[in-house]
Amino acid sequence: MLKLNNVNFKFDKSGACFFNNLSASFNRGKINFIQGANGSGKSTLFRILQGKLSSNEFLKGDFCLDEKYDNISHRIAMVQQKFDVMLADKFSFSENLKFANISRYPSLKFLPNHKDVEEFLKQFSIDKNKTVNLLSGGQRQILAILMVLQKMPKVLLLDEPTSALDVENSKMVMDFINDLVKTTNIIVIMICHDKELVESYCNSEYYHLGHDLISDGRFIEVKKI
Amino acid sequence: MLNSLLIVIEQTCIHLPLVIGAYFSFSLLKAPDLSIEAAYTFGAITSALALQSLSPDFCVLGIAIALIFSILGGCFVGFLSGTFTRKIGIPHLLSSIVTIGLFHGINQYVLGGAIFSLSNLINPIELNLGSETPFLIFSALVLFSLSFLFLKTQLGNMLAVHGNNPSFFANYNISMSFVFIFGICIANALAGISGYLDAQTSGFVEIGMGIGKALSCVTAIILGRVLTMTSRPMNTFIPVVGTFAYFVIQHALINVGFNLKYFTMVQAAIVLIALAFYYRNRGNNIFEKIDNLGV
Repeated sequence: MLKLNNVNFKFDKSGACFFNNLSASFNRGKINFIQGANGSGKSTLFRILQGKLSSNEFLKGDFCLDEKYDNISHRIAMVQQKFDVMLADKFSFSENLKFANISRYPSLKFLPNHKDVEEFLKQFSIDKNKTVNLLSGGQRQILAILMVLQKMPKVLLLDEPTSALDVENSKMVMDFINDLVKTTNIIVIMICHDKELVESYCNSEYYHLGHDLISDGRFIEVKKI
Repeated sequence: MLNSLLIVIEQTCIHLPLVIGAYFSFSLLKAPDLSIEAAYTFGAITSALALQSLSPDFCVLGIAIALIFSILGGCFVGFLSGTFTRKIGIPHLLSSIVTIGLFHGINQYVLGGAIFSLSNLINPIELNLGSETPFLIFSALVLFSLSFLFLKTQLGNMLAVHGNNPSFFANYNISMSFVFIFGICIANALAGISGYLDAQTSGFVEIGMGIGKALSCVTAIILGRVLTMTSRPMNTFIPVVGTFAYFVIQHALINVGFNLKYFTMVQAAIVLIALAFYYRNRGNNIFEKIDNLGV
C-alpha cells in the first residue's frame, strides 16, 4: 500500500499552500483512478510522487510504501500522456524493451535481455519484431507501460493513458492494465477523465481530487465503485 | 582497368573511417558535425608529430603509435565540440563551426606552417609491409568489423535512438550528454584515423586538407543510402557502399577528362539528385519523411 499522510506542498516556499494536509492511500489488486478538474493538482501529485521538485518548491509530509518510509520515488515509474516520446519508433517492439533495460551510462556490452512478456504479447496479438511506428496507438501505449516496468517499479503512474486512443484501443489498454493489476504486485494509479470507463472496471477505487474553497486547500475524496 | 579499381579501393579504404564517423554523427546522432573536418586535419598532425619523434628502431610499433595519436587527436576535437554542445548549450552546428575555427589556429601553431612533409620521416607502413595497399585494405576491414559490432552494443544503439527520438533518454534515466559526447568523440576519432592514412599515403600534412570533407561524407552517405535501399535505422554497409560509389564516380569523371577542381559542384548535384530519388521513393508526402538532416 502507498500512503500519503499530511502532505503540504507549496510552489513557492513563501507562497500559499497548494496541498494542505493531503492524505490518501492507494492499494494493490485494483486500479486506483484519480479524477479532478484542470488545475486540481493531479499532475502535481504525480510529480511529487516521482520526486521531481524544483529548488524553490516546498514539500512536507509522510510517504510510506509498504510500511517503509525511505525514499520511495525511485520505486515509482510513470507513463506520460504523450507516450510516443517514450518510444524509439524506428526500432522494433522487442528492441525498445531491451533499450529500457540500459543503465544510465550505456556500455560497449551487447543489448540486455528484456523481462519475459511473451504471454502478454500473445494475448494482445502484438508481433514483437514489428517496427513501433507500424503498431496501433493501443499497442504503443502497452509498449510504453512494459518499458517502464522493465526496471521493476513498485508503483506505476499513468497519466490519461487512453486519452489519445479510440474506443477499441482504449479497451485493449484498459484490459492490459487490469490484467497487470491482477497478475502482478504493482500499485497502479491512473488519471482518467472518462467516468464511463472508470465505472466499467468494478475492481477499482475512484479518487476525486478537489478544491475546498472555504479552507483554500486541496483534498482527496475516495469513492468506492 | 585493374589499376583504376586498385586506386578506387585504396581511396575507399583511406576515407572509410571518416565516412563511418560521419555516418555515426550525421545519420545516427543527427548532429551536423562539421568538426570532423578539424578532426581530420588534427588527427593527421598529431600522428605526424608522433612519427617525427620516433626513431627508426620504433618502426614495428610505428603504425600503432601513429594510429593511437591520430585517434587521440580526433577524439580531442570531438570531445571539445561535443562538450560545447552538451555542457555549454551551444547548438551543435555552431559549436562545430567554432571548433573548426579554434583548430585552424591550433593546427597552424602546432604545424609551424601550411604544409608539413612526411617524406623525411619513417613510413612505418612501408617499412613493415613493403606496400601501403594491403595495410589499407586490412585496416578498412578491421574498422568495418569493429563498427559493425559497435552498432550491436548498447552505446551504438543509443546513438541511433538519439537521432530517432532525443526525448527517449529522460524517460529511462539514460545520460543523453554521455551518449552524445561519446558518439561525437568516436566519429571524430575515426576522422582522425582517415587524416593519418591520407597524410601517410600522400606524404604530407596540409593545413586545409580537411576542407570540404563534410560535404564528401554527406555525399557518400546519401549515395550509400540510395544504393543499399535499407529500411533499418542502422546499417554499417551504408558508408562502405557510399564511399566506394563516391570514388567510382570521381575516378570515372577523371578518366573522361573532368577537372577535379569542379568536383564539389558534382558532389552537390549528386546530393540533390540522390535525395530527390530517395525521398520520392519513400512515399507521397515527402516532406513528412525528410528528417532534420536528410541523411
